[in-house]
Amino acid sequence: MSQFAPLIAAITRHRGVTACVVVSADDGIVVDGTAHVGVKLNAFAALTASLLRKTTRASEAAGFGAVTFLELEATEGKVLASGRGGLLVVAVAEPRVNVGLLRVELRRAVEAL
Amino acid sequence: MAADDIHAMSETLAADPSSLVFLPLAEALLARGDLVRAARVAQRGATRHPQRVEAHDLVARIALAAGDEARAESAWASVLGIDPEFGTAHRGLGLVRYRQGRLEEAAEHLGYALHQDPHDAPVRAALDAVRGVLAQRAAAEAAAAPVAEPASGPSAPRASAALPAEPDALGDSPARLFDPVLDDTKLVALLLDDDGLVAAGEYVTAEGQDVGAELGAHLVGVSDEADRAMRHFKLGRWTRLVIETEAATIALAPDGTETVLVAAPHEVPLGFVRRTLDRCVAVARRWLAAAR
Repeated sequence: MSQFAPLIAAITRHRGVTACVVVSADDGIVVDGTAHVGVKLNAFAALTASLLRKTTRASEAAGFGAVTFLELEATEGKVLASGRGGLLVVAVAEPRVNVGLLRVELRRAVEAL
Repeated sequence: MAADDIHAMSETLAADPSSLVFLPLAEALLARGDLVRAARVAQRGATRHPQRVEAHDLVARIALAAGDEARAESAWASVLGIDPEFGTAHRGLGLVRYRQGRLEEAAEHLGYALHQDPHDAPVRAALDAVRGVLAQRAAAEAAAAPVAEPASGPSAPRASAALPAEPDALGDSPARLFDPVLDDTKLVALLLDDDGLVAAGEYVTAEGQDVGAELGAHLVGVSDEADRAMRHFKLGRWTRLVIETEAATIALAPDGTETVLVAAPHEVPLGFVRRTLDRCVAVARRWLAAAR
């Protein structure tokens, strides 16, 4: 069991979460994670890391500093991400997920990184 | 574009400074948000190839992304000095003039740009809005004419009651579009077109610096990335992106080809930011529909 397993388990036990992954922020490589059938972890990790990098570049260029949390909502789901020290914790969830609760859990997970 | 491609183009340009590779190189740097290097490469290229309209156009777009409107205008003026029919320059100048409230000039440039590309929705929306305001002004002036002194008489002041009141004029200003929603909150809102240009709203810092253009230019790339990611994840169409940073919360929502952005200081509750974003989207949608 990897050192990230407990935090991943804490996030995936929330109702509506379909995947949780710890990703290297620089290159989008999966460090650890779990997903329901049908979620391609590697592609998912790479795209989310890329989105966060772009967002960070925009934020820093605009003088807002580093990105601490990101939530992308779509018609059929949500992606939430937060990171620290070169690692990101990313969760994919169904639209009905309790975002407030998941946000708190993600922040807690990032503190533990 | 990958960092390797940028590196390769930089090496090509270093080996042959007269190469036209500066155009895709500066474009790639602009897309990455590296505005300082993009500006340097584009400016050197424009100096070396002064008759290349694309080079001056690139200088202008980079300057606009960096918030330097005066430089952008000057570069686009250079473009039109070489090719008076260059559509992108008319488009850029038209949208800048529109934002500045210089409506007659805006109408001229936007009309030209739309003639070049009749499917350009932001230009069409801006031109329709400009023509609407100009028509209102003309009607108000016509209404004022009967109570004015005869033309042959001594120059007397016109009846000011018939002139459009300043608050109404402000209401038509794209920069003030979101004021009724934002009221006196600490939030700011922008409507960005698909090029990242500000179509409405404004973002002026406490120091009086307008950072809307720069923010828009950077965040339009994020919007594209969100679109790509959602397509890949098969999560449907993206509807909202909330980014919490060290200094602020930024919320984005797509509306057709445009994007609405709301930024708020950290102390503003996240739920309020999201609610304000939804209201700004509704305002933008009505405004764009009316303009079309």
